[in-house]
Amino acid sequence: MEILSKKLRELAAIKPSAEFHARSRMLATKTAQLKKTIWMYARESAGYSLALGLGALLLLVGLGQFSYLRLNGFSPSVIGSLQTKTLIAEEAQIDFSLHIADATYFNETATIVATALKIIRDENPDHVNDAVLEREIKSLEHGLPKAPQNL
Amino acid sequence: MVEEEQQLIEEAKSGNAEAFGILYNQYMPQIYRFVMLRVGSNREEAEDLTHEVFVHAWQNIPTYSERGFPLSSWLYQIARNRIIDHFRTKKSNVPLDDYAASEEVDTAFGPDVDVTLALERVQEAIRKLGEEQQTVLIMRFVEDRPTSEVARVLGKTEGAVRLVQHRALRALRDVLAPEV
Repeated sequence: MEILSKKLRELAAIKPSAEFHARSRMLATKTAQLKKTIWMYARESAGYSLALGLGALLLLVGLGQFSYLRLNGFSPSVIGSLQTKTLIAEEAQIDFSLHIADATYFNETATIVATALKIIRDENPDHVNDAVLEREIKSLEHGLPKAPQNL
Repeated sequence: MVEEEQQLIEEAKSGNAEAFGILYNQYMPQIYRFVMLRVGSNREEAEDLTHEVFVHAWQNIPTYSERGFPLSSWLYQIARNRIIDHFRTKKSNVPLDDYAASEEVDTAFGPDVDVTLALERVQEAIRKLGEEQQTVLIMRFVEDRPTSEVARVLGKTEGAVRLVQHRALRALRDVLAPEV
């Protein structure tokens, strides 16, 4: 291999003639240069920023297509909805809202129901289960949770 | 040197023929060698192609952008494309027998006959290799250009160029087997 590369290096001895050198140089520089077109200027000035802009646009369009097609594993919207922390927080929020709704309903109806039960007890003394009614009334008046009913 | 070349390129871009002339003096011999080794020992053909390379370079230098590589890599690219076109045209126009006959030996070396003949054989052996292998061997060993520049000219990675170089050397050794 050494001999081979030495032989190749020797080829550097090839040289153009001085006459050709002078003539070609003169003729080459005598020809007219090509004028820059507007497109060339635009391409030069835009350069990398244009490339980056187009790349970003392509990315956005690509991602949009993925979510449109609902491709699991590619769509960012699908991936976002699969975050467990968000799901747990959402569940807690819904649960909390239900508790508030129950409390409001209880607050609004407890007095009315207690009064109605009192009326039933007073007007129907022969009520079969007087003890139950009494307990219900008490629990509603004190705002306590409903006691288990053992009829 | 690099800054000086930058300055010359900028001046040539704005139409300064003198600046381009300096660049011409600097790069013409190596481009001529590259063309000569690729097209054969026909001096006139090599001169015509080399001239075309520099006319193209002068006309298009306003559009040239450096991008971290020397001007030579751009010139090699032009030369390479020009040679490929040359062979393509030659193939479609000249019958094979005429083509072989037209390859007259017109030595480009000095007066030492033995050395000349030996180098002619190496040239012939190079021309038996593939286009990329020829480019790699000439640029790497004759012109001593860095792998990165060869990679740029061929549009390949440096690793791929090293692979081509390895194969080219092996192929050349096989062609020249009795001599090396």
